[in-house]
Amino acid sequence: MNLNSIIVDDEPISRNFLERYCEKIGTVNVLGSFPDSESALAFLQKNEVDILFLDVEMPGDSGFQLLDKLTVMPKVILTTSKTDYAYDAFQYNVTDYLKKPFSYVRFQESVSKAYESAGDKKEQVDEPKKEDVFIKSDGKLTRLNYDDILYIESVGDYVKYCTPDKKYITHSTLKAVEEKISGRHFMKVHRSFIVNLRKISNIQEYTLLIGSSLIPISKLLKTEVMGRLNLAV
Amino acid sequence: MDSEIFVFDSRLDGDFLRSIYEDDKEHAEMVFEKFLQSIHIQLSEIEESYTTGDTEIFRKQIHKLKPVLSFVGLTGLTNKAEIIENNCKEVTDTSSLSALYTAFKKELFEMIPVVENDLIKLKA
Repeated sequence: MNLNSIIVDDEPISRNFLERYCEKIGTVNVLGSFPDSESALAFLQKNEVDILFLDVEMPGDSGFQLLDKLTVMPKVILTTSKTDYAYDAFQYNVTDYLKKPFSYVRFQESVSKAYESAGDKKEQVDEPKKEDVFIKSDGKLTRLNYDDILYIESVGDYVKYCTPDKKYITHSTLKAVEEKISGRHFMKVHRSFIVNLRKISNIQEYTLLIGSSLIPISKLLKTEVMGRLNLAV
Repeated sequence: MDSEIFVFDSRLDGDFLRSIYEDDKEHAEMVFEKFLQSIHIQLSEIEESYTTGDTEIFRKQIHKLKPVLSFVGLTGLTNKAEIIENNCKEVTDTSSLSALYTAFKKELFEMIPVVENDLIKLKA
C-alpha cells in the first residue's frame, strides 16, 4: 500500500530532495509540494494525505501554525535544520523529526515509522464541536467554548483569549484568529481586539465595555460595529 | 540512475554526500546545478539584510541557506552558518557578527569553484 504525502518547505532544493527520496523509495506518492503553509492548507482543506513532510520556519505561517489549523491530522514528519523544536514536536505528537540535511537511510527510517502507524486509522483530532475551539496555551491544548470568550487581544506575536475566569495566551496572530472564527458572533473592533458581540455591556463613543474591560473601537470600524449590532451610528 | 561510483573533491564532505546521494549521480548533478544557479542570488539577499542590520531577516536567510550548503558537501559551512544563526539571537545589530560573517563568506566564495568543478565532473 502506497502512502500519499505532501511536502511543505520554502527551500526549493530541500523540497527537491524529498521529492527524489519519495520517488526512490517507491512507496510514498507526492501529491503536492508547497513553498508555504498557506498554499499547503488550501490543498489540505480539499484533500486527505497520509504523510505531511513539514518544515517549521517558513515565511508566513510556521509549520506548527499550519498544524493548528488542521482538523484531520496526517502523520507529520518534521523536516527542519534546527533541533530547537523538539519540545513542540513532542507536543504535536509528530511521527518523526528529520534534522536537515538528512541521509536517505534516515529518510527510510522515518517513512517506516509512518508505515508502522498507518495501519491504524488516521489520527482524528478530537474535532471541536462547532461551538468549541482548541487553544494551545501553557504547553497544552485547552477546549474553550466560543460563548465563554469575552474578547481576544493581540499581544505581539501572541494572542490572549479572555474568558470571565482566565486568560489564555497562545502563539498566533489576530488575523489567523479572525479567519478561524469568521461567521460567528465575533468581530474585530480594533487592530488589537476581536470581541464577542454578545458580551458587550455598553458602548460609548469609541470604547465598549465587556465584563470589566474597556475595549477601544477603531474609528474606521465604528460604523461596521454598529451595523453588526443593528444600531444606527 | 547511474550506478557509477563518483569520487567527490576531497575538500567536500564525501562521506556525507555518499549518504545523501548513494549511487544517484544524476540527483547530485541536479542539486549541484541548482545550488550554483541560486547561491549568488541568496548571497546577495543575505548581504543586503546584513547591510541593513536587521538581525531577524539575516538570521532567517542564513537559516534557509544552512542545509543547502550540506547538499553540496559544505558541511563545515553548515556548522558555521548555524553558529551565525544562533548568534543572531544574542545581538541587536548584524555588525556585531562581522568577524563570523566575513570568515563564512570568504570560505564560501573559495568553495564555490570547487562545487563548480565537481559539477563539470558529474556531467562528464
